[in-house]
Amino acid sequence: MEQEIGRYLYGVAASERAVRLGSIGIEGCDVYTIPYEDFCAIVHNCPTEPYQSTDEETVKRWVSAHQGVLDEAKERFGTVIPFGFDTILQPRDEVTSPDQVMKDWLKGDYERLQTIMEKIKDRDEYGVQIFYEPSLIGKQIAEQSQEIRKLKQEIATKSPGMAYIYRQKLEKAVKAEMEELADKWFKDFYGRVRHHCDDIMVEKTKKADRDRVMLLNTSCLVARQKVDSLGEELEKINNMEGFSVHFSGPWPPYSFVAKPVLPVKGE
Amino acid sequence: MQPSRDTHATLIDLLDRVLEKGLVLNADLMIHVAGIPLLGVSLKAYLAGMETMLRYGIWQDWDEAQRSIAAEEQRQKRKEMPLAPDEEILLKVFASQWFGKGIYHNWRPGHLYITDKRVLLFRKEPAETLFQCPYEEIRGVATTGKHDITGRETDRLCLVLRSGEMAELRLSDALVVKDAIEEQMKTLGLEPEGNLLFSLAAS
Amino acid sequence: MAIDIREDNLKSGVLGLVLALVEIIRDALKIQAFKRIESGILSEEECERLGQALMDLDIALEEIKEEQGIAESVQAVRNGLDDIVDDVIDRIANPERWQEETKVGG
Repeated sequence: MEQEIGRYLYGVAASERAVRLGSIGIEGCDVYTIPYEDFCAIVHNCPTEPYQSTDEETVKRWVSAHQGVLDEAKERFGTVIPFGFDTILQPRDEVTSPDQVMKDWLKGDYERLQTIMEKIKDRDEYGVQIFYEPSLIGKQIAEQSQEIRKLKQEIATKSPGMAYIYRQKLEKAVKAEMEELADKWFKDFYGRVRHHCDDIMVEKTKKADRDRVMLLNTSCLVARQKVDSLGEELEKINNMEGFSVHFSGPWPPYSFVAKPVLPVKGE
Repeated sequence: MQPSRDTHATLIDLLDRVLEKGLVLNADLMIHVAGIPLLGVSLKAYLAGMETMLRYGIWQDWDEAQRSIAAEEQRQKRKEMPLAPDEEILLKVFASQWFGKGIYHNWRPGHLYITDKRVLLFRKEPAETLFQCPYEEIRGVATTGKHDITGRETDRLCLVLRSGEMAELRLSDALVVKDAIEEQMKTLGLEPEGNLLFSLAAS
Repeated sequence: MAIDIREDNLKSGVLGLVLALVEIIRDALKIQAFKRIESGILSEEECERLGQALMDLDIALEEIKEEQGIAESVQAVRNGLDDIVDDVIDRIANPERWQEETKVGG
């Protein structure tokens, strides 16, 4: 049993009970809780080595197990503060038991944990990503813009090399117009989404499929009674021509529990 | 609109969160693995379509990334194009078609297939039939030669259709392709028109 | 982890990398060319030749990618490079944020 002196942390729940949740952990490990006052840490015993693998299937299994434990905990205890993958508490010395180390930590961070619990109680995290289709929007812009229609007429009269140059200019004009519009849409959509959230994090946009561009990537902390209205708002946006919405969740509030980052200027 | 959690796409959403977020313990309490990604990059790359792979790996994973992308490319290469079950390919060459639509005009590259039923230009990525035409619709074939930027001699091949339309292609060995098309048309009992060159001389 | 190196995928990998870089250089070329065209320094004929040459270059690159079946490789390399550049710029603009990260232990 000496090998199992690490404690893999899944989360901290608002419950004072010491219970076993069963072998639902990573690699089928036994998950149980270590309470301190009105909170408890949800753990399994593990070696003091992080879980590492380059095998897809293994990683999928581990991550699913991690999330599964949090789902079960939410079911049983209500509010749970989630940890990231591979958060492993290490033993302090030869004399102190790992469980004691855990309780000491819970005691030390008690107030911070309380604040976080308050913040996330009855709320879940949702991922909201909004995409637009540049080809469709580009077409609309080309059709509606006077300047661009003029350019198109001029192109028809030019020699091949000049025509190419003018076409590049035209594409640039369409792109510039689209970027300006993208700014406006971002602000508009962001405002509409934020309206239904208690907190919101703007994430970096990612590369999407060939014909879609990600305009907005957010993590939203949403009170349970507001999820439907958020869904309705997103439905409206999804129905706009040339736009699509990816709405994922509910997730444990991973994005809203970490140490506060330095404030971003301008938000 | 309902939120979802159980799809391929949302697995990525979960990975983004569980691997990079969540509450963090004080550094002195935690087991560290400084600087090295804890989990293999291959999973996220596979799920995210590989283009975000380089974000999660470091330079040592570059090779692996590039090779798996290249391997995936090879698998894609074997993608079938839409042939009829009994259709037979007589000749396959690389060719580009001059294509103009709306504000976009350009040469679109692909592979030209001369089959026993039709002429077909197919591009693999993204997979699309750029042009196709059964022999019955072809009036005749004309060829001219030109040089391109690399100094390479590429020919122009023009398919004149009965509808009056023309499909203009650039490729090498236009005469070989012209012969193949005319041969097949004759086999099918069709008469390809000759002497269409004069109408191309002006273009 | 066993890496499956075969001649064909090694070649494609390298070719994809090379073409991605050629495209990036081509883009830089285009920017300079258009600056010159806009400036009015060039004659009508010179503009025509420049435009034609750039167009031929675009076409040649598309054809090579299609012929070799590497269009996706090239896009992946370019996206990857974009992300790396993003990160580097972020580090320069927000050194404190990156410091925080290393303190916590990665």
